[in-house]
Amino acid sequence: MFKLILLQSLSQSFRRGGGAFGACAFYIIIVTLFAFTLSPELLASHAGAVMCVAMLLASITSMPMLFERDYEDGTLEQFLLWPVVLEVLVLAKITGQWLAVTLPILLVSPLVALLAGLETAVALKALAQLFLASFSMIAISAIASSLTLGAKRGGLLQALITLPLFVPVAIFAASSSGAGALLFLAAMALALWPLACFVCAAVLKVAVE
Amino acid sequence: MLVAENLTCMRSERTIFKGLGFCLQEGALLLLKGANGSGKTSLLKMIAGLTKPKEGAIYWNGAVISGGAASFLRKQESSKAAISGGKELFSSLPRVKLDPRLRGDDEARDDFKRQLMMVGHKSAVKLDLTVEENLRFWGRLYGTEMLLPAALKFYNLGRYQETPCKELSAGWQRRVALARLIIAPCKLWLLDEPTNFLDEEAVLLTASLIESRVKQGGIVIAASHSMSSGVASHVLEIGDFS
Repeated sequence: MFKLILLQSLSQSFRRGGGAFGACAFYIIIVTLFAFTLSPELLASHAGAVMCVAMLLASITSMPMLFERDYEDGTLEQFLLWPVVLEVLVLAKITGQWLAVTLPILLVSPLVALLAGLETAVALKALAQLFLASFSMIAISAIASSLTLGAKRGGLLQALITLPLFVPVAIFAASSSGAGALLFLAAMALALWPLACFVCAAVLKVAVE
Repeated sequence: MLVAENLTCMRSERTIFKGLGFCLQEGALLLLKGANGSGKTSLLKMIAGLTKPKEGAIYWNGAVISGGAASFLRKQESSKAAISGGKELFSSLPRVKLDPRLRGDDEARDDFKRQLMMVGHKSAVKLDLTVEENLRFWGRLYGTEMLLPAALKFYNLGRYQETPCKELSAGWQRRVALARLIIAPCKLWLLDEPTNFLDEEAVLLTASLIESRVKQGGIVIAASHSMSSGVASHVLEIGDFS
């Protein structure tokens, strides 16, 4: 079941257009804008923070689609009719979203780090932080996506919910401190990923009712 | 056997229906009739377990699948649902011996869900995917992928097999949704306006599909304005409780 939902989510994301490609393009454009507006030294010293915020914004643009389409076309109702724990289905959806949208962003990030003029060691650390932060990012966005299901201007509302919640993750993701930041981000990811599954499942049940 | 007892549905402070009950044995086709907003869709959702009854309970093969068990069969006579067509099944509910092992059990609900296929107002068709991909998904879900060609053939979907559903008309999308019924080997079908958007040919196909399912011992509950009462074994007219 998990695999089925995951594969379906991936097929839809790539078929739809504007999913992975759109988020990647958005990400690169934001970082490029900073590259044009900051001095090379300043960009190099803040590239981690810039990449982190750019990834968050790029993710947010695609997150309203996480449950919205399933809600609109009736698939969400069908999810609730299957003899499967809803949390597992939510996990499949979130994983699919991470693979379809966040992973491509992470894959182009080395190139972006190179463009920003980061040294190899600094770039690797920034990428590791970005990688770990991405899990928390998608989990928080998924919760916001479920909470705004069916709402008019849900995208805006979702951003308003997601951005403040993302502050702790952003601080550590953009931090230049050592292993402590990585450990914190890993802990956040481990805590938020299952939490998101439970919260989203509960909210989706209410939304369908 | 599907039993609904003394069901009450409320939306905010408004009573949609109350005291509604029925008992359906294998091979029954229950047609839900009623004006817009009378609660046909609400009843289907209630049976499916998507919403909970304010009062009353629903039983599947003797096990509680929704609502409370305490009131079961206590108020059999209170059913206020009007019965039309002289088909008197609902006036007296048979006593069902509850299996305590299944009563209110998650296992019973899972068993019910495995036997249930619902085609609602919303078709649950993925518009970005092709007709074949949509149906293959359901085939994989139920382990009946081998029925895919039969489903495509039945609704004449073969020519659109590789077409993304977003390029199809509402009628053809509805055919894709209904083709799930062929793929999923479920005993209980809940159909909400199944013939919406369908042309004459597809309406006849759907009618024959329902008929064959009923003959095979399935239970079908359909809410429809267009289906003739004559095809149903039971008709439930949901009245105005406002």
